[in-house]
Amino acid sequence: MKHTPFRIRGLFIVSVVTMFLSSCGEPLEGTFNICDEAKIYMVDTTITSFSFVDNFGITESFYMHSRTWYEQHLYYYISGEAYFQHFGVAYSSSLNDFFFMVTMRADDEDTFMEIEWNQRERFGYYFLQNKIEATPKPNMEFIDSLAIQGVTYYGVIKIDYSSVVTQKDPLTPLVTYFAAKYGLIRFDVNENIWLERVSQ
Amino acid sequence: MFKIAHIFGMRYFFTMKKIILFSFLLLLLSGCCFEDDVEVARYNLSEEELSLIPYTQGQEVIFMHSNGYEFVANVENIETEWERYYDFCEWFCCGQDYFSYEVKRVYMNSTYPSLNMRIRINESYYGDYHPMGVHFDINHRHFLSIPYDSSGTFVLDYTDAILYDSIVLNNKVYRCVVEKPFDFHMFTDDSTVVKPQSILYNSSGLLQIIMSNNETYTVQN
Repeated sequence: MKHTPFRIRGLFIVSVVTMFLSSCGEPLEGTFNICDEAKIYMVDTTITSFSFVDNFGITESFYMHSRTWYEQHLYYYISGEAYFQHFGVAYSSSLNDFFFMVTMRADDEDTFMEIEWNQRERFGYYFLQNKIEATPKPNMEFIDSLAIQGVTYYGVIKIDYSSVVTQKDPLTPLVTYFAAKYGLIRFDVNENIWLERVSQ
Repeated sequence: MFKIAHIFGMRYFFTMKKIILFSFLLLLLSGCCFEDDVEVARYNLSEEELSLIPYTQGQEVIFMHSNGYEFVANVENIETEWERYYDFCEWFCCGQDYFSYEVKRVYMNSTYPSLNMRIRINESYYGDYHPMGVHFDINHRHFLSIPYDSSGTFVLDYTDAILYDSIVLNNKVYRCVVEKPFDFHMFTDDSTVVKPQSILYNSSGLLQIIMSNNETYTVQN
C-alpha cells in the first residue's frame, strides 16, 4: 500500500509520455499517386461529350460542364511535405438533367474512388482494401468485358443497388456500369428504363 | 485623493458610455428609411395575354416521343403574381418610384423523361422587366422567348421564329403555330450535344419539342 502513490505517479508519467510520443510520429513525406488498380478507371477527359440511347429509343447526351469548377481536375493536393494525387470529372445531361461525377483521391495507403449521381447519392470504394463505403451498400462486381450497343468495353465496374433498394428517387439509377478509360457506359434508372452509351 | 480620482473616473466612464450609445443609435437610425416607395404605374395581364398559357391546374398533358414512348406532363402549379420594377439604384435608395406588373407562371413536369418546364408571361429569364414575352425553359437549362403585342398576337419580326398558318400533328390541324428556336443553353455550347432545338407553340400551348437530332416530343391531347 505504501507504494501506491508512486505507482499512480508512474502510470501518469507513462501515459503522458505515450500520448506525447503518439502525437509526434514521422511527418508524411513524398508523392502519393493514384494506385495502378485505380488508374485504369481515370476517364479520358479529352472526350467532352457522349450520347446514350434508352430502351425506348430516346437519345440523351452527357457533356462536361463548362465554366464550373468541377468540370475536371488532375492535381496534387499538398499536405505538409506530402503530395496526394487527385482526379475528378463531372458531366451533366442535356435532356433529363442527370449529373454524374467520379473522383479519385490517393492517400498514403490506398486510393479512394467516389461515384456520385445527382450530387446526392455517393458510392465510395477503396481499391487496395477492397472496401465499399456506401449506405445502403450495393453489390459491386468487376467484369472483364461488356458489349454495349456494339462496342466492347474492358475493365467494367458494375454497381448494383437493385437487391437492396427498390427505387431511389426517379433520377438516381439503381445500376451503374463504369468502364476503364470511358467511364459511364450504361445505367438502369429502374428495372423498366435503362440507357446505353452509343458513342465513345 | 484616490477617492476623488475614482469618482472622476467613474463619471468619465458613464459619460463616454452615453456618447457611444447615442452615436450607435444615430448610426442605426441613419440607415433607416422612413419614406414609402411610390407606385407610379400598374400593368395587369389582359385576358388575351393570360390565354397565351392555356393550361389549368392539375391538367395532364400527354406527349409522345418520335419513337413511340408516351408520357404525361402534369401541370403542377399555376401562379399569377404582382412584381415590382425599380430603376437601378446604388447606395442609399429610399422612397423609390416603382411600377407593378402582373406575371403568370405555369410549371409542367414529367417523371421520365424528366422535363421540368416553365412557361411564363411578362417576366423574363433575366430576372429583369421585359414585358410582352412568353418565356419557356426546360430544366432551367434551355431557354427561349416569344414576343407578343398587346392583343396577345405573337410578333416575330426581328426574331429567328417561323410562323406557320397551319400545321398537322397527329392528324390534327393547329392554326397560327410559331416555331421558335431556343435562345440559349446553360453550361454547354458544344454542338455535338443532343439538346432541345426549338418548340412549336400556339394558343393551345406547347405542341412539340424538337431536338437537335430531329427526335420530337409531340402533344397527344
